[in-house]
Amino acid sequence: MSDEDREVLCVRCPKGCRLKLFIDENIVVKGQECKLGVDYGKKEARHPEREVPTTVKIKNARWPRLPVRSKKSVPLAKIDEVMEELRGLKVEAPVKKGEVIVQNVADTSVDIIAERDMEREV
Amino acid sequence: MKDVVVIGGGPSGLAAAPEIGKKGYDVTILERNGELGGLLQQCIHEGFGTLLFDKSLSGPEFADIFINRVHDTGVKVELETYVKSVEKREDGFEMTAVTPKGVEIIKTRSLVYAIGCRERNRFEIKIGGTRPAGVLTAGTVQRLVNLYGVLPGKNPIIVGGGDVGLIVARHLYLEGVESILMVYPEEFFSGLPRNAQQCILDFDIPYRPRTTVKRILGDKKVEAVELVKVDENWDMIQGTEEIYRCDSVILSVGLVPYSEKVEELGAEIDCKTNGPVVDEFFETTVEGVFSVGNLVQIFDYVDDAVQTSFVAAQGVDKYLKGFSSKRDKPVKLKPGKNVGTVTPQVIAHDADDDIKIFFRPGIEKEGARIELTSGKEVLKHQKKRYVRPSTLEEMELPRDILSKKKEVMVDVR
Amino acid sequence: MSISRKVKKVLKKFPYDISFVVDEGIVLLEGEVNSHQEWVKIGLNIGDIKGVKGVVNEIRWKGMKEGKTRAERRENIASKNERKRLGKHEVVIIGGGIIGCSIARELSKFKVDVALVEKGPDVSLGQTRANNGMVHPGLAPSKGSLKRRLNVRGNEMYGELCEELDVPFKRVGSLILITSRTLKKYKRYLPLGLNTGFCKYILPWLVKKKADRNRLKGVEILRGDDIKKEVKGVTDDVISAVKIPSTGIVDPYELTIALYENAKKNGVDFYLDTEVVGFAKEDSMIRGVITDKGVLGAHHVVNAAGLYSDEIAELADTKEFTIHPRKGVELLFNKRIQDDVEHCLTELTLPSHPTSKGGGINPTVHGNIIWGPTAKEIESKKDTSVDKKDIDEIMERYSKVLPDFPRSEFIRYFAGVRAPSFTEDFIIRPAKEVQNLLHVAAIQSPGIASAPAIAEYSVEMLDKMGLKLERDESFDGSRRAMDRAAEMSDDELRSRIQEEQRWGNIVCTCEMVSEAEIIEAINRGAESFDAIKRRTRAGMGECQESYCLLRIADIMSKELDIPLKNVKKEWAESEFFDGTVRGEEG
Repeated sequence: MSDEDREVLCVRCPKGCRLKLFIDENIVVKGQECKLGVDYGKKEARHPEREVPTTVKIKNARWPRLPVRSKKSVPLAKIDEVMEELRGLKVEAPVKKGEVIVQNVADTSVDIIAERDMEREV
Repeated sequence: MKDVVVIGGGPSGLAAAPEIGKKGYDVTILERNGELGGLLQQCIHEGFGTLLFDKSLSGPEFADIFINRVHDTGVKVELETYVKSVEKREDGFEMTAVTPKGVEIIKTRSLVYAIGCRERNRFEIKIGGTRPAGVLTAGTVQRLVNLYGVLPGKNPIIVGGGDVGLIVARHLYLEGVESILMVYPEEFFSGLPRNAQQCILDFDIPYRPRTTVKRILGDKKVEAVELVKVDENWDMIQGTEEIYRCDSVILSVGLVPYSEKVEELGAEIDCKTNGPVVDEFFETTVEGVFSVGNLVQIFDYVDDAVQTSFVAAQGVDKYLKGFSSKRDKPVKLKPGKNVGTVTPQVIAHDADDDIKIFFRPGIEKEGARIELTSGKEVLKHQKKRYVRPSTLEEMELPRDILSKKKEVMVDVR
Repeated sequence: MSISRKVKKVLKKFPYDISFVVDEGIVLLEGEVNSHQEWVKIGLNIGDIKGVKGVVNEIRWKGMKEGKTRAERRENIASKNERKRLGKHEVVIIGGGIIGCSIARELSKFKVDVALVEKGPDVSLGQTRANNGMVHPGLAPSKGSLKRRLNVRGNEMYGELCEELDVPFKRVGSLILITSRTLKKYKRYLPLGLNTGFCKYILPWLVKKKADRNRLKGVEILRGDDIKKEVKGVTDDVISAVKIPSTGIVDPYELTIALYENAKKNGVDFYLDTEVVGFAKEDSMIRGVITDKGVLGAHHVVNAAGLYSDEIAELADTKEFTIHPRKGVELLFNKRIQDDVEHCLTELTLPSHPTSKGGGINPTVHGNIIWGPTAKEIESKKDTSVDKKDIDEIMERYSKVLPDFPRSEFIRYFAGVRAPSFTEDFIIRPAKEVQNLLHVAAIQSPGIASAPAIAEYSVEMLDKMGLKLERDESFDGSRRAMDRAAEMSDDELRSRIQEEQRWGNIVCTCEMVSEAEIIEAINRGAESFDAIKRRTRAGMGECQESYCLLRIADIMSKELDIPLKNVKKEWAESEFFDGTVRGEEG
């Protein structure tokens, strides 16, 4: 295996095959028990991406925290940076679901959005 | 007199109420908390709605869809309402509810219980040792972290490799605890592969299969746990004990339907699911009382749980119309070979539509054959590529195969 | 035969080189043995000798943890605080368990300036807390023991006391069950027919005779269907039973909290979170009690320190007894269990085994059922751990009595540590070497039942020791219990909500506890989650806090004006949580 080669679980069914991804010019997927694994493995090998769910501080609301998430998935390797950029961020109620909280977080061209409405309650 | 009272404003109650309301009934949701959504409001991770809406939503987003439906269909909502007692009357039910406004008597023709489940605690799995601060259930931690922004500790250990434990592990990792260890008694994570990968493996969080906590150590606050290896029957292996330092123990060791209240009303409880016995329209053994969602049994996906509400809505409609399609003799559905639980437990009606049954396999098996049998007769069979106890399975049950049957077993072979 | 010769004779039975001194009935032992078990055994054997008033067991066992650090720690704290004045009282009681609080309240009936010092942040945190709540009738203690006298008297006093203090108490009665297992140990000597006859006629008669001798009233012998009528689901192995109607049940910490509240109302000063670390003495008199907060001047001192009463005696330079901690594990069952257990049940086995004596099946005043306790000698006074083995032992033992009981429906297990001395009787007497110190020590079972009588007796002793006692006409013995939403009628609750809407916010759904009750508990002095729990029952139901913990912690955070992460379970440094997300400020 080269440095880039990885092992991942196939997430397409509860079986969870352990895929071995051999990453070269071509991607070779091994360990799968069905076609779904090949398909998934190839995607995962090139651009592993994840959604980031977290919260930010909110003032004058029912709860002290507002749930937020990345609008789309961000590169797996960028997650730490995303979290770091959100540290210490404060918003104030009211907030509407889908409202953009941070634009282009960590230069991923993905926005961080509110997951829910939060009314102003003092 | 109301037509329907739905107790519980979590996902299954939120799904049931508008579905019934749009048929023109007077429906009220009673919710004990100050807002609707139940557990969904603390489940801020994505992955909800993939089966129903074909997109991956967070808990609050998923809740929002149904909360809108509730408002659009004119369903009434009573928040901060605790149902103290329910009694059966000749023409329906009389409930006593406690709210910050007073004690109300509510009368209704029918009832839908959508009160979900509770988390299993350390006592139910007989963890020994002391009882210091810092032993928390995973749901409490989820609420603590996501609603309050407070962490359970700096060095938590998570007991249980199911989905809730996995999700909590990722939150704790991302929110900045110093170390995490996950232990579980199975050979592999019992949660979905997706969660195992994206919550644990992605971040190289340490985990130990076939391991459990034997004792909790610490006088005032958790100081350590004694870990022990277990065999395939989950029995502890003597001599493999090891002390692991940690400051909090997070238990993700299963959920139990909150069936106490329906039991008080006289509903029969299935000792396998721990939920009430229901028919294919989710009516309990008390006529006019329905039960939906995780109260019936623990579902893996909220999408599946809320589908019980849609089906129950049809049942409530039938009940209120006084339209009886009930068979003279209901068919009993039972877990057979290698099956833990089956719902519904009774097929009570004659109708046209097929029935979706859910069952929990008792074993792990590749290339499993699922059989519906009556005596020696196989009524239906189906192949499943892979089954395991931690994944709930479903299957269509055609009504026509039930004629003249008294009891149908579900087997995994 | 003198005590010395008897001690020598007993020690001969053991293969060790043990030296001893006997002084006024107090035996001091020194030497080394192989195990803690041997240490206990020797102590008990010496304590059994007639005329021995106390055993100071300073024998060491192999692997024993050095106790020195504890003494050093106390000395350290004492030297820092011996010049700080904390207060001055006529009587200082050490220990806020049911005994200390009972004495405090008894003394508050007189014109005496009383203080109570407790190292914990609340009362009832020691032996009192982990107890099954049985108010024993006074059958078991042997003839002539102080235990018997105080137990019988204490039991009689319960009804009135609990009524005054508004604490639930029920005389549910107890049944001593004689079964085919009772005489198992003597099987060799008793052919089956004889065994059954003995168990059916002679044994119950003997038990009843003892009860009569102890002046218990209304005791009956039951046989056959009469037993089955009294105890639903009782084993078919039962041959006869003795019913004692005066046995009662109480919630021990609720009673202790009530005694505390009422004593406080009548002028007793409580110093909680205050640990005694030494004494300031002049000759054979204590002048001041040194605590980690400063010195409390005192004319008389009462040692009601429970598990630590031997260490308090030692601090006062009057070693007279050693406490050997004995752990008891209990199993608590869900309220929703329909199989009602109406009486306290014990199965008689002879001879009573030293490590499994006591214990039974009891109802609680709150509607739960409790099995236990076990009895196990342990090395550390702090060891309240529970092992799976303990649970299995309880299950096995009591399932024999109620074979069809839904035993998997337990909701909690816990352990407490009893504080017996080697003489196994209560030690209530002036200290040997200190004129103004009264020991009220080695109070183990039936300590709860005896508590009111112990308080009365202790005050008599203080009187003899020269404390001036003049009745205080302004004493008000009544106390009002916490109001409970769960116990109110709909109308009552409705009107309470009208006054205060927080009565309508139910935060613990298993036990139906409202936010108003949480706040009332805080107003009555509770500062930790467990202190609230004991006063309100929040978290004591089926889900065992998994629903209400965070909700109550949130209310506490607001009421006590502290960050959520600083909310405590019980003691200092027992915070539930630690840290905030990404280290952000709260």
